[in-house]
Amino acid sequence: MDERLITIEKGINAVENVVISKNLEVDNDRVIKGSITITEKNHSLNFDVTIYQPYPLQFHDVETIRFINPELIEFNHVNSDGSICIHTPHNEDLKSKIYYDISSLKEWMVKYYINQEVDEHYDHIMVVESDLKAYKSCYLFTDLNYDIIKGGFGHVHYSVMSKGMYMDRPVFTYLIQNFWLNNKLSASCKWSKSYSKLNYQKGLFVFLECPPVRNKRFIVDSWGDIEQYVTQEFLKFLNGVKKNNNFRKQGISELPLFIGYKIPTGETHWQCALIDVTAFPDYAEKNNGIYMGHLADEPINWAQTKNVSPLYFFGRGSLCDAITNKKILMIGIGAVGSIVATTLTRGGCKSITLVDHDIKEPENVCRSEYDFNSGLNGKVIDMKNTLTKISPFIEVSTFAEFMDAVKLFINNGRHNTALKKIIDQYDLIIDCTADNDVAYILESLGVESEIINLSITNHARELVCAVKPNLYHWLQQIFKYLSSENDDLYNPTGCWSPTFRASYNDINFMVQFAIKHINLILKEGKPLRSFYLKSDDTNDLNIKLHQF
Amino acid sequence: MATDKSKHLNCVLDSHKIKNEQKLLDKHIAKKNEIKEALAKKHGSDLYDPFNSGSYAKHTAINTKFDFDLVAPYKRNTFDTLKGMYESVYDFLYDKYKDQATIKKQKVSIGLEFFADADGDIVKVDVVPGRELNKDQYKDDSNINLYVYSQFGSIAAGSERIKTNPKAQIANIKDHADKEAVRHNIKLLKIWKVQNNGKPKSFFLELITIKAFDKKDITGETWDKLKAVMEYIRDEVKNVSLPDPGNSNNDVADTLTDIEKTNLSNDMKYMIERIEENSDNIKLYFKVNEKHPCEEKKQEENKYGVKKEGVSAPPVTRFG
Repeated sequence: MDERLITIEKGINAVENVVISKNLEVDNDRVIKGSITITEKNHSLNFDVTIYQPYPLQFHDVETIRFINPELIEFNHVNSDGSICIHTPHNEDLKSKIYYDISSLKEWMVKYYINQEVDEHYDHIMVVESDLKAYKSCYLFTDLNYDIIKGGFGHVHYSVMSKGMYMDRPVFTYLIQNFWLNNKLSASCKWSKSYSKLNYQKGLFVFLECPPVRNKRFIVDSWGDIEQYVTQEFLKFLNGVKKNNNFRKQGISELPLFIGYKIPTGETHWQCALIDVTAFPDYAEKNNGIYMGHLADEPINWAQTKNVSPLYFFGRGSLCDAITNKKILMIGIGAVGSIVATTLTRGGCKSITLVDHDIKEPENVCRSEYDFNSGLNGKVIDMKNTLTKISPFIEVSTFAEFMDAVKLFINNGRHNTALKKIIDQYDLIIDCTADNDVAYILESLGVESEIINLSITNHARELVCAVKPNLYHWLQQIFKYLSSENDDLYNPTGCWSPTFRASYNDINFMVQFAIKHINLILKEGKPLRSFYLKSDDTNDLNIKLHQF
Repeated sequence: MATDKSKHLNCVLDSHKIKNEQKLLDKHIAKKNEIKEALAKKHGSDLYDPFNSGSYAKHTAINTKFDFDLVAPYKRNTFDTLKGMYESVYDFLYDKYKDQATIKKQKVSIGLEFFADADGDIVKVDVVPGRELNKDQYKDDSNINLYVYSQFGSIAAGSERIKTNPKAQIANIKDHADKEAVRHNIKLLKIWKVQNNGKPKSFFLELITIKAFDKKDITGETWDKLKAVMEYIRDEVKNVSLPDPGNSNNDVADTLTDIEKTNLSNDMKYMIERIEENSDNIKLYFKVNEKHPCEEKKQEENKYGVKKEGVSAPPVTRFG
């Protein structure tokens, strides 16, 4: 007998109250199939078992053992084919892995079948997308500025955002934009301006009382099943759209119908059914002299939708609210500033104004967050593009010559109040210019906004962060004490100002440490103090924080 | 070159001496006397002798931030209520000085900030109206009740009065501050506070410094003593009790929240660490008042008034 099969059988038999009810056999593809029966607390359940060749390893992050019982489909953590969704930790040892997997199946049975426990977190209903199409579509949505009334229906504006490729199939990503009820704008997805103003196409929507499901957790698969959830008014509207036939005239072959409903968290969720514009699913029948709308028992072609609202977009990790909720003025977006800007954006910041008069050139790319392929470009323009590409929730403004204007007017005292007022519109100023004039000006204007001044020394040996009070004085003093290796600056060929030596890795390492420290302090509500970081690689790499 | 920490601190103290600002001090004294006379004229025998209770009276004043606190002790029956007293004094001062000063209702006082004079000097006087607790009792023990202006109601909810004894407070601080070491340390901490937007009230710093000298054997050079006081604050501020010499039921330590005490402890911790790490860092925390540099600092300037160190220092090497 196959040694692998023997090991698996031994592993199954080792688990209490589990028996092999149909012998395990190896087929021509080396897949093992059979059945087991688990008996727990006077309940017995039978599962067909399929074990694929890579077992005990996973394949594409999916378990290579499956336990199937289609009769259990209404229970939690059961897939549409009746397979039980279990995940156990990696184990390279076949005997141990089968033991843990069977034990885990038993735990599922006790928890969800016998005790019928309900998980605290909400699981979205399961949608099986069509994989027959030549391309894949995904519609992204976020929080709306207004709620949509239940039963409401109308048009949707959505935009094409990108075209990608996955597994040899094109992938189109769309953004849902606005919802129009009776031709009046009813609600909009809260994307940043850059995304809100994308060109749009029209689709349809209907907002239901509850999700259209079968077996509690699976989206219906036939148009006919939707009929019970919608009103005659909606069917009339759908029929009107069909007769109008505008979409066909525009060369559109597929019309997305967004089906919305509230989930227990209070959030609105959208599913997307694609309507073939040559074969609308509705029809009408005369009943007692009155035409009634219906939906045909035809399969629905579901497309993928995703809620990418800030809660989920930044859900895996973000900076603290004390940073992300601030209106930020970033002055100087060179090596340090560009890394700070992208980190803040990925961290969840919503409003950044960029100030830098400089031009981005190819030589900047190797140690900053700029790309080569945008060529020579104003730094603020380039960085605005970068930040907008990262997050659909950040509003980025640019004011390249802001500090130039300030310097022009600063010695004319009459304008100081106005300058201060402009700057004080921001909650937080991050000065990465390494320009002492800027530090001096901000201090002498008595700016009330918080200020974080970041700069580094040659080789990125030290990163210095100065904050109020006494920011300017402190900076002046501290740089007298820090290492200065001016004789080792980078001097490229030609007429060029020498600059510091440091790689992206050198700089980013220090900047991320600094941002982590600042985030920690602000998150805990502590006062931010001036500090400097000193890296030391004389033996092993070390970094030390010196707070003042 | 390393900085001689004690020498620097002595220089800082010299530059902050109140006598360096004699002209401004005289203006404060004159204005205080003017207000005192005006109040005496208005209330006659209903008012005991008003007196100065600020840092100048306690011998702990520094010249970069000083104002005068003028306590006006009223007799018990002068006003029906403490609120009536506070409002009446405010109305009087407002009518008299509204064209010369900004007048603000503060926690227990009425703040007068006179507009800058021809020299650009600004005189600030806080008038603290108080009332004796019982008829004629003030003459015996100097206790008075102060009205707590409701906008600043951080006192226990519902309470709108504080019993205090400013004379006892002054005497307590002054007696201790007559010891040079205590006085110098109080002044240095006040200088640090003013220069670094420190949170604690001056009264808090005065009392905790006195307590540090009571609890520890503090000797040595100026830095050694200051360091010892800072270590005491670092280690004890979260648990220390600082009874108000004017009313032992008030704990001045309670004027800081737990978070503020932790922050103050950290202020001291980092300050000591940084200064011990590099003596030059002492200049970051304790700056000489450039308006009145001590002799040694004067020598650092050339005949054009440009600091020598400013000329000879290497260019600052920072990058962004």
